[in-house]
Amino acid sequence: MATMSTLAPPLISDAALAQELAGDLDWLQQRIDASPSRQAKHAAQVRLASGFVRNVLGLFLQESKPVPLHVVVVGGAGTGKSTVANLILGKPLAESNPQAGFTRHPVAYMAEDGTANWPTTPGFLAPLQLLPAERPANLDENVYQIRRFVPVLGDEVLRHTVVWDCPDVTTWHSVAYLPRVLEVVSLADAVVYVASDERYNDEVPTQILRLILQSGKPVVCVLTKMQEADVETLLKHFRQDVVNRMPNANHVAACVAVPFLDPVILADPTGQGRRWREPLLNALRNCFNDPLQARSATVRGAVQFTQESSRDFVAAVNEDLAALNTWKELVEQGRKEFESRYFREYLSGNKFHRFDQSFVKLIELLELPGIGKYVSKAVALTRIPWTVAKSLYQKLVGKSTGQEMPEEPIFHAALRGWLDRLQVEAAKRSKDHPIFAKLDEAFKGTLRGEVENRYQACLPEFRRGLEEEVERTARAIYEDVEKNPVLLNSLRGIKLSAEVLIVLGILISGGINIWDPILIMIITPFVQEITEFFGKQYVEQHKAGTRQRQLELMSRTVAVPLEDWLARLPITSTDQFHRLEQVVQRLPQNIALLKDAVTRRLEESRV
Amino acid sequence: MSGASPSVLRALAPSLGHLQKLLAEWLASPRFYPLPVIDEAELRLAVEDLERQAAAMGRERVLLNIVLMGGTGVGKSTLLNALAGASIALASATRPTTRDPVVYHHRSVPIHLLDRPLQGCVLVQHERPTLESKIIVDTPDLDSNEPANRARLEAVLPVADLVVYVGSQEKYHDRLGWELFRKHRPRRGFAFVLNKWDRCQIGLHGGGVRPDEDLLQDLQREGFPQPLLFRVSARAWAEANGHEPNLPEGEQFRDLVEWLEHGLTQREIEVIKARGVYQLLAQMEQALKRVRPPDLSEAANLTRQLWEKILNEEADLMAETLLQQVDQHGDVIEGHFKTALFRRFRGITGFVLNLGSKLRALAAWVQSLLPSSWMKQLTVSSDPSAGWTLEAFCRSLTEAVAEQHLDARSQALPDALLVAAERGGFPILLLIEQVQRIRQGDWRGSYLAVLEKSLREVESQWTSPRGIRKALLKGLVIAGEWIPLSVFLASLLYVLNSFFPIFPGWSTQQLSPWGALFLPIILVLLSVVLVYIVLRLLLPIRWEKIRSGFRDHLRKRLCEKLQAAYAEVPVQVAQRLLEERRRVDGILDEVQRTLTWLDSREQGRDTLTTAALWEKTPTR
Repeated sequence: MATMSTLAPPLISDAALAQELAGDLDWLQQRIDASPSRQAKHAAQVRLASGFVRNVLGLFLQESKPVPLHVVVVGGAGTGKSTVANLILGKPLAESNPQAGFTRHPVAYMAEDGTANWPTTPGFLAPLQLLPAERPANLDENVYQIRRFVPVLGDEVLRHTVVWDCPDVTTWHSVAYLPRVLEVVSLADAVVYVASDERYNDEVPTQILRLILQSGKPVVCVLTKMQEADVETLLKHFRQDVVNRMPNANHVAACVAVPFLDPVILADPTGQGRRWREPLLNALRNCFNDPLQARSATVRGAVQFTQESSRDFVAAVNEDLAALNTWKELVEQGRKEFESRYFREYLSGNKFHRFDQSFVKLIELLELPGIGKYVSKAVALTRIPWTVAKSLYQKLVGKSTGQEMPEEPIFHAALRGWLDRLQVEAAKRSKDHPIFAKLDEAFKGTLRGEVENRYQACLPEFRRGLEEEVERTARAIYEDVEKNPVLLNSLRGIKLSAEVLIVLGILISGGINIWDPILIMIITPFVQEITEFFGKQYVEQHKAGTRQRQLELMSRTVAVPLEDWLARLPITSTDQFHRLEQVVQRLPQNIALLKDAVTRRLEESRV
Repeated sequence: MSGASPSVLRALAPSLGHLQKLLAEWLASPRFYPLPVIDEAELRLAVEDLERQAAAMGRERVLLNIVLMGGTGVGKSTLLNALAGASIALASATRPTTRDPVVYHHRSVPIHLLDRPLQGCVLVQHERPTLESKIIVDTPDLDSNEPANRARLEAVLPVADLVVYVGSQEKYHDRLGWELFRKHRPRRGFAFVLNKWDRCQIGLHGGGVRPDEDLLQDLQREGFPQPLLFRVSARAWAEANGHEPNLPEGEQFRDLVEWLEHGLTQREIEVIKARGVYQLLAQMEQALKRVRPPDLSEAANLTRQLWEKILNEEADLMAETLLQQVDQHGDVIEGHFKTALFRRFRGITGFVLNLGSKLRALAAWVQSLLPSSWMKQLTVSSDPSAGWTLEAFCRSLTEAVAEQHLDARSQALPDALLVAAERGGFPILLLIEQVQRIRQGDWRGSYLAVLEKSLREVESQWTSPRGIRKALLKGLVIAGEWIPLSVFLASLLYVLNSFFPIFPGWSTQQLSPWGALFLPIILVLLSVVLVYIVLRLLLPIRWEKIRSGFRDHLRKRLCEKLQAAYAEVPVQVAQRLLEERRRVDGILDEVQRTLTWLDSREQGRDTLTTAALWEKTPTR
């Protein structure tokens, strides 16, 4: 993961970037839906963001022809969204009836002789399919339809605007089609939020209003169905109790009222309904004074919302990430324990008998070659009594050196300990998160066998490395000295001169007498012992180095590969967690890239 | 569930009270088997419910709580006002309105007979004899931006016997209300009011289904084939002020009133009550079945077998590990055993043989006088002869081995056991706590005790032998005591005789003074050496020989220790679970008996009303 993020971001086209980002967001949203503590707020937020990427940013980066502006009518069931859409359109085009939640898919109304083209960018409204022909609005499928109409004369704003009539967001059915609403809301340049006298202070629609305002879109609020006498009271109460408590309350462009009207009036929006239609249409005209500016405001809002909520996106899958991390930590802890057991139980007690040979060879090297051999032999003769006495003593005391523990069982026990701990920890957490439930299942299944195979597969490399290491180090013990004649000869010289000097000293100091051989026989072994002592220290040092290197080797060839494999288990065993890792890593990157691209494009268009 | 007469309800009261007591006690008692939070909450609610129902059924007069539930603005308050024929509940155009539930009840019902959540509400009394036993509650909304309102509603709902779900043309199937309906319908009867009926018939030409038909379809899907649905325009009635209001076609407010006043007869009320209890018990039965601890006796036995095998292997391995460490100090143990053996000897032999250990003690004493810092470096040597005690020896050994092997092993063992338990069909989660606790015990201390005890046992075997060896040792001890003494006396006599011939005829060589002094000593020492040689030949003490006996002891003791700590755990846990299971079964039996009793009272015929109010007859 670390290596991935340090790589330069790959160069991909804006289209591919938008597509990937939208795909990631969609996936993230599904993940949130499936997570144990399903957070509806986050799900809607992510859904809206993926819509932004597809329908606003992707479109903005790719579409060269002028595209229409979008007005989206949303609200609770039965509030009269279709009625309001008809008021805007100036004609009773949308089916308006008393069934709460009749409309089940978004319906777009577009001027037949309009100035704008319907976008052809791939990915635009991708989750919804365009119906080829006009169908009733209660078709409950992931579709949308476009109904063409001829605007009334004077409604210039409708010539470059698409008006969307959306399904409701409050009935128990709406859980299924809320995504359709959010998809269309995302592409809106202005939103018409419809609330009835029953609904204007309801929790569910208010949450949607809050989300829309967060995304920076201008909103026209329409209060409906009250008695005419109550219009002012309700508008005031709505502003006070609902709008003023919203973030970005200044984005509410207008609050207008449409009281409960007689069907006759509703059938004639431009005539008898004009009184209620004009304020509504004026509010929209204000929003769309400058179409280009309206569009770039939408684009900017989309970028900002996507970027600002990117932290929330990741927070929404925090549980997953936390569980993954916990697992990784557990595996790492286990690896450390595995290594330390190997070191303590096996390596620290290992005598490395190969090194004993090196020691003998090293001591032999210090004996003189050529003619000096005879001197060495002569000195060696004087040591015979000591050597005999020493070996006798050793035999008598018979201090056994203790056997070494064999490596294989220790290795295995440590590995088993590692896996046992992981299995227990997974079982312990199996109710907390699906990752652990999955791992628990895997442990009950064939996982242990797989680990065993992997371990066996790692061993040959380790063994080969180990043999090489021991052989090399053991050889180095005497070869270092052998290859360095200056050192070797001076060592030999020191030893020889010490021996010769002592013998001569004894002979000279006391004159030749009966005690001299005894003294010599005591002193020469002493020198030899000192030599061997240093030799042993030298070999021990190498042993310690070898132990350390062997531990490192084991870690590199066995422990770490196993750790990596185990740590990635949840990721490799299910696509979900693999994708999770990918998404969490590249989401912020892609958002930043997209932002850069959009900013660049905005600058260009301004010039 | 008809035929529930007051006597049935009154007969039910004590057994409900008994059940409530059983369940409450069980919930309050410490439990080993984990109870899921959701189930616990449900059972706690059931306790409250049982208490309430038991109290209510014990009374002369059975009261029916009818709760109006719905979103803000659907007209609950208007409906109650229309029912009361007066403005008793606050209804206004701004949303949300009702803050506190309004309780509409007959004057003759004293406040203390109202259920506790109702007592703190706005109480409005009436004198309508037809509504004498019915308590009608108007509640705050469930869907506005005022979460406190929903909380107030949810405080009242648990005491509802009958919920009147009020919907309007807009809100007849909103998600929030629907979820609440789904949550409560297993426990309570539901009737439905579609208010603002006038608005439901406007604009039908635009397609779509008329709201009442739409709602009926929804309800059918939810298992209410023939729900009790009233199409009402409450506002028209509330504003009529006693005049005949102008009504849309099919308006059913009169039917609603008729049903409330006359349809819900005393007998009907009792049936509804009995049905409520029946549903409560049926739900309890399900919950108790869910939380009933499993019977793990078989799994426990299997696990125990698996564990015993693991523990034996572990003991073997641990013994081997300890032994290998001890091996390095075989000479020390030999020396210790010899010292112990020598202590049996008395007299001159005893003195000479024990001289060694005495000297060591002396050396230790001298060492203790010396500056400690430099001494320490010397005493750390592997031969702890100075100041040597078996206990200290064992401790240093145990610590070394624990550091290197045993600590890791004793940490890993519980995991291995848990994994084996899983294989044996015993859930890890049920054992983890016990096993963890044992893991945290003082295992080093245990190993130390085992090592020391084993050494002491082996020591006593070797230094206090049995059978022939015992006789041999005894002979040697006697020989060791008397031979040197006799030799000494004999040589003394010999020396004396050489100077002062005491025994004429025993001619001894003239000795030099040195010879006279050394001869007895040398002879005595020789005799001691002789005894020693015989001792070593007859009763040799060699580590190689001690070792195998020592290993057996170590193994046995370690095994005992591990088995004692772990082996019984699965069986104990299973036992405990079984006890808890029996207790739950006891409650379950009681619930089922009551249910069966209710079944037997049932005359097999639902009244029209109850069939409509509940989703379907619960099947058991």
